[in-house]
Amino acid sequence: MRLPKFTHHQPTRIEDAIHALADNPGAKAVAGGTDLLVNMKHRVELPPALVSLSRIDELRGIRREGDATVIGACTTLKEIQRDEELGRKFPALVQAAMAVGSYRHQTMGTLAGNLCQNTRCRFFNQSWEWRRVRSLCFKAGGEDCHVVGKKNICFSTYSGDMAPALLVLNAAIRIQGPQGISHIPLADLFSGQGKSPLALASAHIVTAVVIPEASGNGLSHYEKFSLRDSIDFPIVGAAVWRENGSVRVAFTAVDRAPVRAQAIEAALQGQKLTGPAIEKAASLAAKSVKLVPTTIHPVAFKRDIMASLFIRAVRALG
Amino acid sequence: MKVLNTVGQRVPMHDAATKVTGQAQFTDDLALPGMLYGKLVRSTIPHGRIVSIDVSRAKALPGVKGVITGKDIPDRVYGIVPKAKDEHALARDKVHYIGDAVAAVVAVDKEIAEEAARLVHVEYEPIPAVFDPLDAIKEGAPLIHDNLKTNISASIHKEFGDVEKGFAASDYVFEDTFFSQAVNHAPIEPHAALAAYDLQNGDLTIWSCTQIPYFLKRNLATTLLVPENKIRVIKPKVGGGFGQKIDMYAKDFCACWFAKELGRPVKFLYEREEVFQSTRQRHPMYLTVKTGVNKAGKILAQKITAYADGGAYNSTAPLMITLSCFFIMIPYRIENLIYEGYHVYTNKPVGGAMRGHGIPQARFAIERQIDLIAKRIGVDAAEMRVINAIRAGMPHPAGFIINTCGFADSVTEAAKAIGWKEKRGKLPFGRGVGLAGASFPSGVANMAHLASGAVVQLSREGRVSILSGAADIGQGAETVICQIVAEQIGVPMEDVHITAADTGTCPLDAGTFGSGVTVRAGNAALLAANDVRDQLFSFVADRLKCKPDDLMTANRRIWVKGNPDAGMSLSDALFEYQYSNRPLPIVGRGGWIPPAEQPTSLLTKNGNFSPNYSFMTQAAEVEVDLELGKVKVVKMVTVHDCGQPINPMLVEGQLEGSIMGGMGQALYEDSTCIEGQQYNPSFLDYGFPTVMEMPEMGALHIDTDDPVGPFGAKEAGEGTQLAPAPAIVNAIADAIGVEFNRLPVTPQVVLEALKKNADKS
Repeated sequence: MRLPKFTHHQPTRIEDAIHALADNPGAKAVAGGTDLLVNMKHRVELPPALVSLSRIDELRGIRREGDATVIGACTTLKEIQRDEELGRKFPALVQAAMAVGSYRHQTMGTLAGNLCQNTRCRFFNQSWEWRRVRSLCFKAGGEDCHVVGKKNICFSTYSGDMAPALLVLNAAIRIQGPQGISHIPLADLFSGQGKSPLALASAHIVTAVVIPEASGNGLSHYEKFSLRDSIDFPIVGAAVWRENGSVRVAFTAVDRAPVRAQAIEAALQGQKLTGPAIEKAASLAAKSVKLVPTTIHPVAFKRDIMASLFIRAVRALG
Repeated sequence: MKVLNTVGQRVPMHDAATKVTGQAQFTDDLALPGMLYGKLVRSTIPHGRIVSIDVSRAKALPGVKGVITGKDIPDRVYGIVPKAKDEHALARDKVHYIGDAVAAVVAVDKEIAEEAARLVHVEYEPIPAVFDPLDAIKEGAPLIHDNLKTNISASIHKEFGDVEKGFAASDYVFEDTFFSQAVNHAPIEPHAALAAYDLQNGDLTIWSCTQIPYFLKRNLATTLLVPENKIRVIKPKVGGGFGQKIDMYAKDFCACWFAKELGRPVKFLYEREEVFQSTRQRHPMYLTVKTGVNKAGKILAQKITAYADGGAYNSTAPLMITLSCFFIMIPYRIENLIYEGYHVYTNKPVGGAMRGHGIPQARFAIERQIDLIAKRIGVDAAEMRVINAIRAGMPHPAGFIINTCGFADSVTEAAKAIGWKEKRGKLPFGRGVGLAGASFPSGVANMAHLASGAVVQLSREGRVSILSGAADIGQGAETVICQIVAEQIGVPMEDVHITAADTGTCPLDAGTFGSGVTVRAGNAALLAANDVRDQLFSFVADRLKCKPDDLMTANRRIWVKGNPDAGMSLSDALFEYQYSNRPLPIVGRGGWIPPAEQPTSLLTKNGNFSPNYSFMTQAAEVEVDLELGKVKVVKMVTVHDCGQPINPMLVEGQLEGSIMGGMGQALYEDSTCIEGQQYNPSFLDYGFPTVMEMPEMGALHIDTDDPVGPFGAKEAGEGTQLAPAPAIVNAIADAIGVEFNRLPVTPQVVLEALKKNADKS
C-alpha cells in the first residue's frame, strides 16, 4: 500500500509548527508516523499536509522542572526505556514503553505520538478496497457503525499502551497553540468520542508530558495482554499505582478513551490490599467502561481479562 | 548420518548472503524499460452475477494504457489439476467470492493504476451466498458453480480391508468430530509477476514467483492461446511459498496479456491483503473419526468422513482430498479403513495446497483421537502409537511401498526427549506434555509423468555449471543440488554454480510441491554429475593406467583408491583433456522419474504414491496461563526419519519453521471471515507467532538409509508440518484436562473451558 499525496512541512521550532498547522487547514502533526502513516495508507485519514515534529529539538528529552519530571513530546519510546531514573521512579511508564508494538515502533514512535494515536476498529483499520464492501463507516466519513448496526455513532477503541500508565501517574500534558502554552490533566486530552477521540483544538500540539515527582513515591506497574509478545496492540492493558491507602487503576483497549477504573479505586480506598479485597475489586473492573466488540475478541472475554490483568498488576507491585 | 565432503555437511544456503544483504532479486525487484504497472479490480460481493462493467472512466484517465474484463479474454479455465479446472483469470458472468478478480488495468505508474482500478464500476445482481461447507451441501443451498448440480466439486469414497469386520472385532468403538480452521501461508514475499513480449518473434517471457514454472507455462499457454514453446517462465528468488505459489493467478495471466497486447513490459504485484483474500489458504475441514480398537489399543478399523471448505474454486481439490485419505494409513498400520471425503464450494477465499496438503487436518483429528482413546481405555498414548506403528516392509492397504521406516523409534525417542515418563500426567496443573506422529511422501510418483532433468557442465577452468528445473522457494533446493553435484565431481561448493527454474534454458521439472524436490531433482542432478564424472574418469583412468571404478575424487583432485599419490589435480586432468582434442565443456545429463507404473492416478487407482516416505514424531511441553488462558509452548522436540540428510542445517531450518507453523495453527492463526470477507488480512491482525513466541527446540535424527533417494535422502519439508499442532493440543489436554477438538486453541476458548470446568466442580 502506498501513501496518498500530501505536502510536507518540517519546521525546527514549535512556533513554526503551529503556524504551519494553522496555515494549512486539515493539516496534521506527525512524529514517528507509526499510527498516522498506516491510517493514511488505508485512506481513513487523508490530511492534505503533514507537519513533521521530528526536527524540533525542544520537543525531545527528559528533564526535571521543579517538582515534576517533564518528558518532551517527541522523546522516543526507546529513549524512555533507556532512562534509568524514569525506570526507578515510574516503572509503569517504562514497562508500557517496552510493551508498545515492536522494536521498530519503539525506535520510531514517540511518547505524545503514542498518546495521540487514533482509536481502532476492525471495520475502520482496513484498506479502501476492503472497506468498499460495506457502506462508509461513521468514523471514516459515512453514517453507519458496522459493529453495533446503528447510525452516527462510533465505538472505536483507544488502544495506546502509554496512556494508562501516565493516567495512574497523574500526568498532565503541556499543550501549545497560537495563544500560547497551557496544561491539562491527561484524561482531558481524550474526548471519549470514537469518531474524533482527541480533545485537541486545531493548530495545537502536545509539547510535553508532565509527571509530578510525588507520583514517584508510589509503586506502579503496567501489564499488557496480547497474543504475541511483539507487534500487537493490547487486547487489554492495565496500569496500577499504589501509595499507602491510595490506589489508582487505569485500563486501555476497553473503551473509546483510556479509562481510570473509579469503581475499583473507590472500593480499595483506604483498604489493605489483601487477596479477597483485590478479588472483589477486580470484579468491578469492567464497571467504568463501555465494552463493544470492535475487535475479534468477545466482550465477555475482555471483561474477564480486565479482572485478571488488574489482579496480576496489583500482585506485581509486591 | 553420512558425512561426506559436501553431502551431509552443514553447508550455508548458497544464496544466503545475497538475501541478507538485499542483493538477491525477487520478482518485484525487477524492472524493465517502459514497464507498465497493473492492478486488479476485485469483487465486493461474495456471490452474484455481473450485470455490467463500466470501464469508461478508468480508460479516460491519463496514463492508463489498458483495461480488460472477463469478456475481453478467451473463455478458458485454468487450474492446477487438469480435470478440476474451474477458474477464469477474470470472472466472466459470475463472481464467486469477495476478492474474485473482475477487471484489470495497466498504467504508466502505480498510482494511476490504483486510481483507474477504483474508477471501474461493476454492477452486480447479488445471489444468496453460503459460507460453511455443512450449509453448502444442504438441499436448496445456493449453487456456486453453474455447471455443477451440487456444491461438492470433488469427493472420494474408499474402502480398504473389511471395516465392518474390524469394528465387530473391536473391544471399543469411539466416534469424535474435529475441526481445523483456515490458515494462510503468509509467505513474506507477496505474489508478483513481470511479463515482456518480443514483438519480432512473438516470444513471451514471464518472471513470476511460482513454485512450478512448467505448470504455469502450460496454464498460460492454454488460457492465452499461445503455443507453449513461445512462453518462457523464469522464477527469480522466491520469498516462501508453502504451497500458495503452485497455482497460476490473475496477475500471471494479466501481465502476459497486456505485455502481448501493448508490446510493453507489465508488472503486477499483490498487496498483502490480496495474498490473504485472493490467493489460497489451508482448507478448513470437519472430520468425523470412528475408530475401533482392542483392549491393548491396537486400531482394528477406522471410518472417516471429511468435509473440506474449498472456498470458491477447486485449485487442488481432488488431490487434496485424496491425500487426506491415503495418508490415514501411514504412519499407523490401518488395515481396515473407510474414507469419505468431500471438497465443498463456499463463497469464501479459495483453499489450496499448504504444507502438508489435506493431511494436517486429518493428522490433527487422528492424533487427537489417539490421545482421547488412550485416556478412555487406559493405555499410554505414546505406547499406543508404537503398537500401531507401520514398519518397513509392511504392506500398505493402498500399495505404498515402505522401504525404510523409523517411525516406532521416533515415538520412543521423542517420548524420552520430552521426559514423557516423568512428566505425562505428573506435572503441576497448567503444565503438560503431548506428542503426535506423522509421515509424508517425498514427492509424487503415480499422479502424472513427474520427471526432473539436469544438465551439468564442467568447464576447462574447473567451473561446474548446473542447469536444473528445480524451483528453490527459499527452502534451499539449489544448495542441496549443488552439494550433490560437488560431491560427485570432487570440487568445493564455491566451484559450483546453478541456473534453475527457467523454462527457456533449464530441463523439465515437476516443480516444488509434494515435498519431492530433493529426491526427484536431486536424483536427476546426481545422474548428470555421474555422467560428467564417468566421462572424466574414463579419460583419467587411461592416463593413470587403472580402471575408472578405481578412481576417487575430492578437493579438486582425482586419485586411485588406496593410493593417494597416484593421482592428478582436476586442473591438470582438464588441461590434458583439452590437449587430447576432446570436446569441452564436459557435459552430463540426467533425468529421473520415480519408479512407478505410467500413467496412473491415485484418484482412480491404488499404487505406490511416492518414491519414499519420511516419518517423524514431535513432542511438546506447554504451560497454560490459568488466569489469562494463554498457552506458552515451552519446548518442542522433533525426532525425524528423513533418511540421510543432504544438509542437516537446512533440515533443522525446516523443523524450526514447522514448529512456528504448528504453533500458528494450534494457537494463533485463523483466517476468519465476516460474511465471506476475510477479517484479518494483514500481518498485524492475522497474528502468526513471531520469534518471540518460539520455544526451546530440539531435533533428533533416526538413521535410515533409503535405497531410492539420492545418498539415501527422504523428504524433510512438508512432513514436519503435520504433527506440531496436535502435539501442542495434546499437551494442553495433559496440562489442564481439557480436550480441544477445534482449532485454534485461543486464550478465549481456554478460559471458557476452564470456567466451565470450575463451574462443574
